[in-house]
Amino acid sequence: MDRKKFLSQLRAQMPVQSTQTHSHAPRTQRALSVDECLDMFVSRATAALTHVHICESDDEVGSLIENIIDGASYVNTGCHQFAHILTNLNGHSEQVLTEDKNVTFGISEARIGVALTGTCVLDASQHRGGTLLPPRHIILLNAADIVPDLYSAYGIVGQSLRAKRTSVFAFHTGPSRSADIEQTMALGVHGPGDVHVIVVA
Amino acid sequence: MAKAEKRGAVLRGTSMVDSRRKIACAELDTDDPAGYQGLRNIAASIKDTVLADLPTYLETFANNAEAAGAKVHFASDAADARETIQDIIRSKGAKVIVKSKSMVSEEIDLNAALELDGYRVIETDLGEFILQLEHEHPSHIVLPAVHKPKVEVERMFNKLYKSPMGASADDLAQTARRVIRQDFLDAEVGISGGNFLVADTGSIVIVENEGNARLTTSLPKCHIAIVGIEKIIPSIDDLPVFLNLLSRSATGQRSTVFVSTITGPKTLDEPDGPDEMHIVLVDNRRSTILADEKLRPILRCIRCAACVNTCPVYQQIGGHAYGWVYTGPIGAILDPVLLGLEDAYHLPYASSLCGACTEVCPVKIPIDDILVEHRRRAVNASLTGPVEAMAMASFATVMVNHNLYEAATRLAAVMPSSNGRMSRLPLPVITDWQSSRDLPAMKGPRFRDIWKQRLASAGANNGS
Ligand code: SF4
Repeated sequence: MDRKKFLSQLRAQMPVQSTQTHSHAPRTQRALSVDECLDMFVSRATAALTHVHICESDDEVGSLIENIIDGASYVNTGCHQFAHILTNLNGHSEQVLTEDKNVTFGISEARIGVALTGTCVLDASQHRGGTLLPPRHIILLNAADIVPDLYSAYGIVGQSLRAKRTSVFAFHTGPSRSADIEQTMALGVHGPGDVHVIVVA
Repeated sequence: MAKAEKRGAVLRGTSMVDSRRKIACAELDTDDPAGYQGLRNIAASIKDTVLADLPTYLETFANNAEAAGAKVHFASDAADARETIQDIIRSKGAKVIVKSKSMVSEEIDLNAALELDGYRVIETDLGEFILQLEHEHPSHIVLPAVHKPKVEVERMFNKLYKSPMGASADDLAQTARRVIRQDFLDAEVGISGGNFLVADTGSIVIVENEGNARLTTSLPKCHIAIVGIEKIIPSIDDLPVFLNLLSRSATGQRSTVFVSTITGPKTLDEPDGPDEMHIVLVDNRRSTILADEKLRPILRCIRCAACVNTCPVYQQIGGHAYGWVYTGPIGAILDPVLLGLEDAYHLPYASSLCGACTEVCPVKIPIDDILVEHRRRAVNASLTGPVEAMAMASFATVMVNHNLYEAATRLAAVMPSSNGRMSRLPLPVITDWQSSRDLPAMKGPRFRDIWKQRLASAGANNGS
């Protein structure tokens, strides 16, 4: 239906404008120190069945990834900050694919971590297919990018959207799961069933 | 399949999720500065603010979404919505369409229309995929296949995909993943629902656990989102309030596995994503609710199904007994408006008015008050006969008479029940009521028929 007509019909149906004061979400956040954020992130992400690792140096990250992928194929979904680590990686790197035929791992870079929910936020600079199609997913996260809660995270998302459009912000919390078969949890239904987050401190 | 087996599955499923919800919501008292009750108040008031001025918010949303490169369509009713979507798809030369969960698409019977047009339409949510294979409808708004015992799925996958009997839930899920994956790669169009429309950024937000909605909105070149007009929130800053309440109330999770905030199609410098995005905003009698001050709070609903899981009546009779898309307490207040009170007046009676639903509703919809309001209107319009009036009286007697209530409570304490909850007590009354008239379940098929006929005639009127 024509938009003008739709909206004017809707307006005509509205009862006399009630005087509703505009309310907003509280902008308050949980006050957590940097260390508390990291601890909280680790415990909440683990509770959501994510394997969390903490590394201190690039070398450590590199050998940890080699350990996890164990010679299997992987695709770099768009890591910039950590790109140099991936170039020296010992493994079978694939071009970004829209099909997942033989790629076992997607390796991505998170823009934000959310402590209270154990969430990694991926933006559209990451190849979407690469973060979803391979059965296993490794996400690199800078410890300094962990914020306390969703209020702070969506504050950043909002700011970023107002500055420059990004088609998607995907909040990932743990492996893909379903409880549709008699409430028994199954992992890796459509997205990755095994998720590692490497926090680089 | 034995009825008892189904009822067992429903009871187990809903009670398990209900107890997880309790724990997760209580945690908000420490996790969120506003606390659980504070968040409920804030969420309700944000929704009321939007509803009081919905046309303006819709306009803002549409302008911002189009500035982001999406095309926004407005559909006044089911036929209008289906035609809008059929038109978009026709221009794509599509063969395969993947869908992620959308209750609105159930409401407008979209799949049937698309299949008539010759497309292959695949429901990709595991529960809905299972139901689609058996030509069944969801019985629950969050756990579509909650009524389905696992052994039925084993049998079906065994027949269709040679999956072994006794396969684990993991194995069954892997089979579904394998089968659906090819459809994801082939599909030209992806159709999703949407949990929230964010006015100030023009984004749609989708909440899910499997990743099928992410794939549906990422792989096909054309993404169509179909969303009810009441899903608007003013600002992206308001989103955390609703996400905190929705995931915890729906499944007891702190966050669902995937939450996508989608703002337009892929940009030029992004590696992948749809080239084209359409958002179809559907009224379909929602404006009738909006215009009715007594019923308007219904439009705050975020479809978490907490009211469904906690409802002792739903746990007993299951979702299909409600006979339509929206089931449980939310169905009992929503369906009479969407379908018309004449056809659905009996649904508000499928309740003991125990108030459990109202207590758990994260957006504080006074569900039991609205149930009573529907009943009052049904009586005033002489839609109910003496049997219903009597049944209503007996519910009311139990609820308002202090002595009777006490006695029934004591009785409930010694009655076997899933968790000893007092709210189960009026059930014997309901059983009497059911035996004195048609079971609500008997109404099921007739209901769908009525709706189908109505859709068909609406379609005919529009010349399709
Ligand atoms: S009525 Fe309330 S509890 Fe029920 S589904 Fe809607 S928001 Fe959830």
